[in-house]
Amino acid sequence: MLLLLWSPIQAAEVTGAWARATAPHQDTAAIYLVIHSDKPTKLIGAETAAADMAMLHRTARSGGMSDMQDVEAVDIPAHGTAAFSPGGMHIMLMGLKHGLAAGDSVDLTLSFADGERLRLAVPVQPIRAAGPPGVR
Amino acid sequence: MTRTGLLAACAAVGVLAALGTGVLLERARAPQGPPQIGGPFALTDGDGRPVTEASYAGKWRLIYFGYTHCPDACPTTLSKLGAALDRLAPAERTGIRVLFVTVDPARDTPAIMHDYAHAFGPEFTGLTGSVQALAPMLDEFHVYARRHDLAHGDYAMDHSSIIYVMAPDGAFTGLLDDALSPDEMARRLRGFGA
Repeated sequence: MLLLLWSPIQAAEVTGAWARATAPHQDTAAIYLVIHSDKPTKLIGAETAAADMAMLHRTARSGGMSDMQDVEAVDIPAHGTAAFSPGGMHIMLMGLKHGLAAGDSVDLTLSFADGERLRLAVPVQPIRAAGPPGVR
Repeated sequence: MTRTGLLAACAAVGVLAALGTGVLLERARAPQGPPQIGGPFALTDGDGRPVTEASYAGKWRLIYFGYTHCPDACPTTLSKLGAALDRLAPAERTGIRVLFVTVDPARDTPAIMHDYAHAFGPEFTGLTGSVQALAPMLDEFHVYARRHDLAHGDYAMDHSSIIYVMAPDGAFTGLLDDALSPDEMARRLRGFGA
């Protein structure tokens, strides 16, 4: 269940957020989600108490290579979406305070250029999961 | 190499060319004939035992190079591979080993590789070794791996993200793109004869 803490002025909404459970010793993780916005907006960062660092990141895949790229910001057009999904853009967590187990949730705050902040609880899915709860 | 193997190797050249990996292709091409992918290795498994390619003789080997601090590509690919194996019959699965080989030996000890690999399924084995022990294998498989420094002294690894399918006799048989769905991976594994 995705918990959204709304304030009336918020234009952005998040659906399908999830993180994959970590393997033993793994101190990194990725959060996947889709941001929808009524008005043009720009995602500029993410924060969580679950890790030392949360960064917008992209796994750039080409020719069988996987390169890690920093993402400064993500523009979302009016009535548009930005999708963060496995093997693509993700919110990278570095230095996890403890491993993520299926059934846990990660408290995440997204920051937008206009000052909007969106706080959500991200469900942790089993390590073999392909997507958020309800997706097999 | 069997005729099937040769065809698969030719197909692999096509895949590599289509993927635009000019360097990989150049390095994969032998002076004449099909590309040479794979070869002997001497590494350490998750139980700390020395292993070579002969340790897995008679098994299909699905080889993936990555590292345990990998936030996205490795867990995504390994979980899909595990889901693909779930789609195979028990008799098919028992003939398959997944070898997860680290490109980050400085951090990935045998104990860490053991626990990490097993989290994805019973067929998964983690292999590590010294930089000197890993270098020939990375070369034989034409693997690209480069340290990518992040803030606070931490680092990630940019690396090849593709699954190598080796037949029970050790011959390179084909590649599985990491973007394939588990259904498609399972279908192709059956197609290879695994």
